[in-house]
Amino acid sequence: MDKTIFMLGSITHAFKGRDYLQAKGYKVYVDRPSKELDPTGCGYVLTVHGDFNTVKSLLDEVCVRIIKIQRSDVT
Amino acid sequence: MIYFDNAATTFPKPDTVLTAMVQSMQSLGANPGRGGFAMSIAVAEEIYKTRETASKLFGAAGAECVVFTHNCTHAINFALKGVLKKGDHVVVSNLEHNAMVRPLTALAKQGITVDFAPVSEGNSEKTVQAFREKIRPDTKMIACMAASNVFGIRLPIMELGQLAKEKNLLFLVDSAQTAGIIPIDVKKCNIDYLCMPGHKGLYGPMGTGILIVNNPDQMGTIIEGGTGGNSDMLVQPEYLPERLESGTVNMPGIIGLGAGMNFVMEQGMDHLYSHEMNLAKKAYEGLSSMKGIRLYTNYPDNGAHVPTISFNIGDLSSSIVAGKLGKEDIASRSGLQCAPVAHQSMGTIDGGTVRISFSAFNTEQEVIKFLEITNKML
Repeated sequence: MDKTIFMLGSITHAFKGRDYLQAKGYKVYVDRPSKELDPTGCGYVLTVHGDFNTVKSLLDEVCVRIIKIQRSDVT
Repeated sequence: MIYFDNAATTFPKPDTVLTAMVQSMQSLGANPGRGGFAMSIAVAEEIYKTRETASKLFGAAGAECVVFTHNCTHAINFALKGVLKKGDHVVVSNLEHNAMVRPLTALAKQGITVDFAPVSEGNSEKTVQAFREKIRPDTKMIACMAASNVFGIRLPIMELGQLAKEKNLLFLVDSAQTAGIIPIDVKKCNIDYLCMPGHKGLYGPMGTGILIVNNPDQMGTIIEGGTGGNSDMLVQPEYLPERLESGTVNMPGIIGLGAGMNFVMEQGMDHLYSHEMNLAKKAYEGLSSMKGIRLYTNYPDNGAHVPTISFNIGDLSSSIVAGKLGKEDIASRSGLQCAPVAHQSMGTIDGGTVRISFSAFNTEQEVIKFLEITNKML
């Protein structure tokens, strides 16, 4: 299963994305970004387990502003 | 005390608002949306919940379209000054509050022009026609209040939204006197910018307001600063709500506003409106039966008014009357109520009026007492 970390513009967008994905049955949580993802130490990330393309299109569907994406296969 | 100055700010507030604010100060004191520690995330979550509540209540496209401001005036300034450019023309009503008129007067120095359309009490068609006649090729926006803060006259927001859409104009609505008692859906009414105070019909504390942005594309900023994210960028983020929310937000105020909106939803806007209009009708009936009382509107009608009544006693100064009511522990508002344009339009610019306005917490007994005391002044 894909694990994707979406770097988002703000905590508002993180919560919006989290709630929408959770309502669709995804395991998702809000956290701070790693230094690798965001050297400034600012911003928030959404970590999601699930098919990347589906998750990405769901976030796009509700206009969640994605700044950066980090993908990994955890299966 | 009998508090009939709810058009200025509602008092008292529901206990749930006070409790939510105190608890937030005691246990959620971190800066929201800035830190990664639990308290900062928790308080950001509470603020997000309030955004979601407002979004649902007013039909916004999403929680991010809800921008917290200091008050309704602040929201109106954001929308007018963020959108209008030199050469733009705006049509407003002839009942507007200074919250609308003063920013537009300031913008006149930058080459923005304004026309005032007369509102016909209880006649939506005539009002819309008056707005239509003021539209010019350079008109960019229709901007108006949803109801008069002085006379309680409602404007036909749905129909004016249709006019704006038909003419491809932006539509800004000041819902200071309707938010919390009359449902407004920004999408259904074609509203681009909906401005409201948090401390009136939404029962939040003073220092809170909301701007719902239904059209972010044309919106510039008038304040820039830290937003908690994208801190490496020296320019303001493009996305809402951070684009319009620089600096630390009023956390306890916003959480109190959330509790206030929950109160409104639990009570139901229809119930609140009906209750307050019944009080306004009772007050109007009593006042109209007294010789020497001057009223300026028709009998309060549920479709055409909000629960706000203006009156005078003979030639007595409105401030004298409000002062006498004050001595009897009745709170009312005298003078021009920050709306000289409305008073000019209604013929009351010389001395203004005494205004009474109601909330969920007023009772029929209070109206009876008010009428008894007023009757003694005649």
